[in-house]
Amino acid sequence: MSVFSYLLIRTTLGNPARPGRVRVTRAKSLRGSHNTLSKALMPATYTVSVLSLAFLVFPIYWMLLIAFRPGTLNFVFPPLIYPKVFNPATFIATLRQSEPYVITTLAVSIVVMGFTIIVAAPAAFSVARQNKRWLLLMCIYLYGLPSTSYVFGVYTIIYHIHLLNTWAGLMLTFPLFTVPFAVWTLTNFYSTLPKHYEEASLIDGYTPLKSFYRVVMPLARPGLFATALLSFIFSWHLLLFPLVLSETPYQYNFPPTGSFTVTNFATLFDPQSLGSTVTANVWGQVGSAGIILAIPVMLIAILAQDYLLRGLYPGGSRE
Amino acid sequence: MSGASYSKLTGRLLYIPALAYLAAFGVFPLLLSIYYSSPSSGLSSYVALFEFPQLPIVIRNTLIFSFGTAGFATLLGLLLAVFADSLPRGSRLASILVYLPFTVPFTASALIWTTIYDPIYGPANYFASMMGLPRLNWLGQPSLQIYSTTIVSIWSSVPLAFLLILAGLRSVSNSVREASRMDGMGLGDYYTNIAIPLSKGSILTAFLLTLILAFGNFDLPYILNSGYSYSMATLPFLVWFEIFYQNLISQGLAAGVLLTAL
Repeated sequence: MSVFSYLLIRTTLGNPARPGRVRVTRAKSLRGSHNTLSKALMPATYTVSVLSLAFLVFPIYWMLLIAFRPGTLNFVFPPLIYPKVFNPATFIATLRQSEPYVITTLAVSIVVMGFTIIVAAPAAFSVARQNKRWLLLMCIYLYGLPSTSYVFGVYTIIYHIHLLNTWAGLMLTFPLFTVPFAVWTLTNFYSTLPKHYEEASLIDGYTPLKSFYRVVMPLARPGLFATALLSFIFSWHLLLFPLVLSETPYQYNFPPTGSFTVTNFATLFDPQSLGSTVTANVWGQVGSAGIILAIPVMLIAILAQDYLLRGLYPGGSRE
Repeated sequence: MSGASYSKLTGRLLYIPALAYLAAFGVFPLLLSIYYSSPSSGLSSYVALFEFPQLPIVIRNTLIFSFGTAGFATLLGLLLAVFADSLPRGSRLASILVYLPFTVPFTASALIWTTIYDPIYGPANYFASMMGLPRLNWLGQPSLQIYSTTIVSIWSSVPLAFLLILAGLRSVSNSVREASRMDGMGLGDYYTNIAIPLSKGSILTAFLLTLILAFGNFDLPYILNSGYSYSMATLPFLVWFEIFYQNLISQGLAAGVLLTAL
């Protein structure tokens, strides 16, 4: 994958082709343009798109369906794929059960979100304006690196500083996923900001640091907001680190110990590993846990769609 | 302290926190993992890894999983992006529907797909039989497992590819679009000859990003493989399995180094 990481870095950092040049080449090739490919494209697109939409939406629909129906309706043949009886009992019970996991994940994700912005925002500015490309390369490399390749090292460190199974252990390690990503997207965001204001502030005798906090940060608010939300989503989703670093659910104590997250919670209901102990309710619990995991992110994604679309695009478009 | 060097120092303050953090919790653990992969006995853990009879299967699975995910996610993402971009209205709704799977964490999607794949009561077999396919044991039959896992991964990755490619298509300037319409170009011509070639960069980015993320994906293969069988194991799973489940630490770390180096 190193080759592909290198290619990814090349594509995202490479200068986009000048539009003028592309347009001329295209104009030349237009003469023979009415080929079969362009004729077939739109019908194929519409057919495949409608089928793909069904493929993409069905599991979400299925999740809602099995969460809110009595367990007995799950085990009929052929499977019922339309709603018949609405019964929120399993969902409410699962929601109650998830409380300590949700508290941990919320606390950890909010701290991670703040930490990520505080650390990554100035660093990305430094990449965009002071030309620290090596830092961006390091971030893209770490972002693409499989987390399993360093998880043992992370475990060793957290073990030696006695933070296994604590919130602090997760708060220290989750930014490993969010900081590189945030530096990357914010670098792209800063490079779209006009330079005039900060240049004026530098001429007025501001230091780069002061100019960053007083001039750039306020201008960059939409990008920072999007990156913060995405950092929250990322840490909400993580499984490997809590799997390795946590042992129990939150024990309602202070300083907080017990750091199972919502993803650990969902794995409690894996119908495959439950095997013979599987109950009629387990599908309902799977669906309910899925909803609990997905709801915050779904709300963020739908309410802040425009912000996210801007923040989600790592590299490329400068328009 | 002179003004220039003061300004240089404060300039450094911008990136030093990030660098320090990433060095301490990213680069250092990586080096630590590499260091511990060859304990006092030298390279024996690597010898053990390469003599491990299941390694070729695991590598094959990893390649099927990552390239299958990237290829199909990019293709479907491209078609859906063209679809959403060409809609005169409702493209916002289409986008929301396409990126719904992105909002579900891998852990939850893997569990939901476990119920969909249920050999008796799951809707996967129901739809398969409607299309005249035989009933399949999606997650139970060794020759099928890695493909079933890849389908879930494609499902989760289409939204990312879609968003990247749609952003590329949207960045084609309106004047180009209008000019092509004035020249009497149909939508098919516009996309094949103008919009798609102009957003080549974003299509390539989508492919590479989904490829790299799928290559390192631990969550999906871990949850779907609850029987811990090698026939559906991928490299990231193998690393976790050997270190944290079988306690074969140095051999697992050697697999981790292989994963890093590939």
